[in-house]
Amino acid sequence: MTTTTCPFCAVGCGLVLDVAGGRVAGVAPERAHPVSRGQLCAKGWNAAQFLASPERLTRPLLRRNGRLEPVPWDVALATAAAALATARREGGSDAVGVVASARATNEDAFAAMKFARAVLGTNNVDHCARVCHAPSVAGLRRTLGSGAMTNPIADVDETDCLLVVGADVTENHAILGARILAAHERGVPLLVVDPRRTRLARAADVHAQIRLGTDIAFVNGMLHAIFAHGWEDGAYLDARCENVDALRSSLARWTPDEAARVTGVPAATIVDAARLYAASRRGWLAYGLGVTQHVSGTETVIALSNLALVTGNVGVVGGGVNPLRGQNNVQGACDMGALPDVYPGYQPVDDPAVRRRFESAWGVALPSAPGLTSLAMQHAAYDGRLKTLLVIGEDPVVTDPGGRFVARALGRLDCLIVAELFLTETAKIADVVFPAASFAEKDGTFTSTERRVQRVRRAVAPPGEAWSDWEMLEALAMRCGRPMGLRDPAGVFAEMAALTPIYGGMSHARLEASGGLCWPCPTATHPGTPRLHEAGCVRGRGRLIPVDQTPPAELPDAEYPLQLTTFRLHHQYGSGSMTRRAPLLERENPRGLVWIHASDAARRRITTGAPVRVRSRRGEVTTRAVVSDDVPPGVVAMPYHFAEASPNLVTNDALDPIARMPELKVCAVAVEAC
Amino acid sequence: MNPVAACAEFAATLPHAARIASIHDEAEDTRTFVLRLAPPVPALDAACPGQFVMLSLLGYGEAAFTLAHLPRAGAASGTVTLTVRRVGALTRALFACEVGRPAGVRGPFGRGFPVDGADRPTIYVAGGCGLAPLRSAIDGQLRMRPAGTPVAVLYGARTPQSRILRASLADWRARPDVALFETVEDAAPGWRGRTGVVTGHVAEAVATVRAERAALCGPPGMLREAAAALGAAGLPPDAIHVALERYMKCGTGLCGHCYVNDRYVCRDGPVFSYAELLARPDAFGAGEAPRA
Amino acid sequence: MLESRAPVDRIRRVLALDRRVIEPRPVDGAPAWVATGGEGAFAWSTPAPLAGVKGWLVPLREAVLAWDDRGTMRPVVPHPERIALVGLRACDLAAIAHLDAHFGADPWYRARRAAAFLVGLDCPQACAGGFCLEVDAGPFARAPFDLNLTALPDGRVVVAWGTAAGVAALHGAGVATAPVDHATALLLAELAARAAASFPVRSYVTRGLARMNAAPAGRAIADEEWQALGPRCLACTGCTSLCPTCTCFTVVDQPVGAGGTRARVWDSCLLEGFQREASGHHPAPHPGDRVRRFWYHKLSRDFAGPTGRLGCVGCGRCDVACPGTIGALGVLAALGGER
Ligand code: SF4
Ligand code: SF4
Ligand code: FES
Repeated sequence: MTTTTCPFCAVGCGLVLDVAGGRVAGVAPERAHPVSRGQLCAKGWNAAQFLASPERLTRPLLRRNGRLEPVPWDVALATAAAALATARREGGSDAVGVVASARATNEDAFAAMKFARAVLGTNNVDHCARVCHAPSVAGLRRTLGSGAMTNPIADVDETDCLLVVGADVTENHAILGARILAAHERGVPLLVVDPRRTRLARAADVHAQIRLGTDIAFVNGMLHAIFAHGWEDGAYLDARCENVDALRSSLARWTPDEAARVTGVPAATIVDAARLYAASRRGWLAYGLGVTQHVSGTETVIALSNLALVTGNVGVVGGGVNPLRGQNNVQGACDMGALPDVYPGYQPVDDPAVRRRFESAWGVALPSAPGLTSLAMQHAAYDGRLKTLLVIGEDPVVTDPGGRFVARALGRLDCLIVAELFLTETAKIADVVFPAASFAEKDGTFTSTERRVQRVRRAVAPPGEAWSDWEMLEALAMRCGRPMGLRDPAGVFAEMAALTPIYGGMSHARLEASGGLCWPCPTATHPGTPRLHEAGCVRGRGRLIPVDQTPPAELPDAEYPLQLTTFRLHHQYGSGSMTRRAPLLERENPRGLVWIHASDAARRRITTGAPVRVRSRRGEVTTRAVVSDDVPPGVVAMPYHFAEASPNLVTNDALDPIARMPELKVCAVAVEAC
Repeated sequence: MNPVAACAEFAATLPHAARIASIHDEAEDTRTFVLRLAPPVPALDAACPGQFVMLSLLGYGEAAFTLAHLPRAGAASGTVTLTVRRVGALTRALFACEVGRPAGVRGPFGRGFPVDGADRPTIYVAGGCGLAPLRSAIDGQLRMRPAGTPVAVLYGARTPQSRILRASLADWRARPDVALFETVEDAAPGWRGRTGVVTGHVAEAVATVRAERAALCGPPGMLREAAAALGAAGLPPDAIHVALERYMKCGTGLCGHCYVNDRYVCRDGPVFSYAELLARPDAFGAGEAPRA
Repeated sequence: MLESRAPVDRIRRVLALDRRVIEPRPVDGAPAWVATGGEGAFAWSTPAPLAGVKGWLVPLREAVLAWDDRGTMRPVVPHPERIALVGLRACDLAAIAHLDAHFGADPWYRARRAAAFLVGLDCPQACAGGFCLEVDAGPFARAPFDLNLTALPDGRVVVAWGTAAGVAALHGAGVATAPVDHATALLLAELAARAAASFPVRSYVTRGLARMNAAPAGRAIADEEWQALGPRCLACTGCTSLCPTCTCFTVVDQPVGAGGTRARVWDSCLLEGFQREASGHHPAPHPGDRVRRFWYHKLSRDFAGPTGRLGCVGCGRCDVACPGTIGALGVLAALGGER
């Protein structure tokens, strides 16, 4: 019986692994867990299934004569180290890069970050937050001073109004979504802003079914109504915010009628939503990838922050601006500095004082210029500037936009090194593949979406010769002639905590108790901080920043008349490498699928289950249709878990100019029966 | 438990080893597979019309198929004949198989069509692939009936090309002692049979042979309409025998997949009397309760 | 009857000589079934663990068949470890009676069941969220147990045996049992009455059960009521995983190299894929249809086992596990007009 933390979404539920005969024989929820309280979603309940899969990688693989063949660790490590050395010799330190994992532990992410900076001498280190919440980090740091979820999940039970924007919470963060539904059933008003009719949208008091990518217009319309009716929290604005007048005057054109024209939502609904949210004493605002995966992602985050500040909802119980992180440890991977511009704890690499501290701790000179993002690394690989790339537990060929381009770019590397549980699409094109240990096979910590740092505990031994990422990285560092001195997960955590003020008071020992601690936790006696900004914003005053509506980079036209958006299913996770090996989860949704409204389907003679082709300027994909009023006319939606029908073959890789986030949530497509 | 007996108990659950002996195209997406069992399995030779087997393709799992052909009583064929439509993963794999491919067969399972009553005027109503399970019942009655017992076969298909078992259809069409009614929903040019769904022809077919009992097999929507039409044509519910289908995983009443209200299709069916179904609102699916 | 609690520990240690003794113990702050080797004193007051004992009798994944590279099939015969489950509450025992009835002819189940020795422990009072009383499954145990324990307030323990193996275990441990005298019998009856009286009055449970069982079967409750509950089911499979009477499984083939294994894996009827047919037809297409079907199986007399008891034993686990608040009491509250 081993109590640990669920490896799927970022809610951070307590999971108990039942071990029999050296294998995980079953799972149960941790009844006393402060967040999940004895519940799990379908992924958690099925967590035992992928662990035992005979498809797990158990030995290192090396490409020889075009085929991946098993080799001893020594050989694989030597090959990887030699490739890294050659690339650095020929192209300089920035000819190599590391893509860390948002699924592995903090200890693994810290090791990856340190490996890139201290061993390879590059800031080319990133992870998949780029394709989920980079805009949250960028946006909220500007307005509030910290890019993380401000309020705890438990505040759902303490609020007077729930506002959910661009997040399918009951499916992607089921245990949180269920808590929202339960609060709503108790009578707390629920407002949902989403182009799709999600489960929450169907239950909501107000569902604003906005056009794709018009969130800013909607929020500005709400703000206009709030100021027009005097629903703003004047005292809060005076005491805790700055730039109020600039915001107020920027809103002049966003009358509810104008917002209605842009969003397609009736003006009265916009005013209603504004009244419900602003008139409630406290409003808990949460948002997801529907906000961030746009060219205007960062600006939309800022707009939501404006909304929360104007109504006095930051730094209070039951309020907040709450980005719902996608993966189990995407918060932690960000915290650990697996980002090209910051060390652990968001300490900028270009701040000399910070850099000196890390240089003296590690005894090496560190690069000062921010490195490349993961997408930029792909482009650099394509251009030949990046020669060797280490990808840990990520499957960019499936999850990143322009999938075919990603595969082509990675194919141009001199050497692609991948550490994985399974032979994913990305691992299939690698030159060296390291078998990785799963969450059940290692010790460490995950940091959940609410900044809750919790223990991950080893229940069983890894299969065959699989290793934890940090072990692999330490061995590789030794081969590179620069050992990192990482000895065990508790030690890695201690080294990280000593360098990372927000984690400074934490240790594995302190995290033993169920539920762990929320950062910031600067000292060994600090109780942790479930709620940010309570004594004023981290940056001082909450900054209101006027933002304006930017249309999606690609709009429908005669040739590509429909808009495609992407979403995630309750029963799948990421590229499906874990969930698709659980028979019940794999059965639940027939693979692929595109949701289409009856009116669009009828015109194309498409019925549920019929094979269809989805085309964009970038590519096409064949899948099957689900005729449904989950999507409005003119919009089709695809989940992105299925490599054989990946929407990323057609999605747009236009970038948010600030956070360099690709616009995965909207592009123009044509759909036809085939 | 004595260990040898215990092992025998487990071994008894194994599929019988079989190989694909022949493959025959029926229609688009439909083929008939004959599997030869080695050694022969007497219980399979003695199966009743309407009973089913679980066909195994190792690596792809099992699926339930009703026996499409049965040997004459007492004869040993050592084969099972299954007519299969390509619809899911297992049938896709099966269609990719060639003659000689090993497979496994468990069964026969379930309650088939009533074996007595060959002397009563009967109407058989089949939709699409549902003709295959009915064929052995039809052939059985044709073999066993007292001369002159009227038999009608009412067969509905989507298109003329999608009709299966065309050799049997031709045989019945040619026989003066079988009244064959064929109908298609989408008639192609040159089609000389009837059009529309089977329901529209039930009354006429019943009247032609003065049917006293009926046997039905086909998709759930068709079963629901046709059973109601047979009732309206005067057949009592307990003389209407309906073969249901469900997703099945075990065939032995354990896995729970096939239930219909308080009954398991694999164990209590697959053939039910309409009287039984009238008491089971989910027989044809939720919200599609059988109509009296 | 045992004069004190001490002999129970002797029984546990004797059982541990040739069995793995598995008992509720607190683990990380919550009770769990743990292999204790019979060590230490019996944890009389540890509440029933959230995860039950179903997995020992019906494993999450049970290999049933293996094939080799030549396609030769052989059954996978289990070699279950001999275990003793000590401290089973009445609801869990009632659930095992259901499993016995359902899987009685299945050799895999029989092998595992034969290897398990069951020791019951009567509940002196209602547990939080339990309603065994209303479904006639507790709080005092009935068969099937090998031994059953009732702790008396004065420190004595009434031990009942249900099987020859139970008697043999008592003898093996050499504990002296005295027959239950009249006074003790009266005390037992009083304890049972007190335990029954400790349950909160939940008239909605009675009303809900009555509506579930009104004729004609399953049709007394309007479909709209079920369809209103449907969206609350997220299809997490929590209820069916924890429910001690849920028995549904799927069968999956797992190729390994040129051979492979076929295994049964717990399934859940709340999943859309559970009854979806290859043709695309679905006999329970809406979440509400599936919620209705699940509760019909748990709460309708149509599914009463040979014991005559409902498919639900009132353990309350689904109410804890259900994120959508439609566990048994949640559903009965809706059917009984309480929400
Ligand atoms: S339905 Fe719920 S309360 Fe009833 S036995 Fe199952 S888990 Fe326990
Ligand atoms: S526990 Fe609740 S949400 Fe989960 S499958 Fe059961 S009824 Fe549905
Ligand atoms: S197929 Fe398993 S119970 Fe009927």
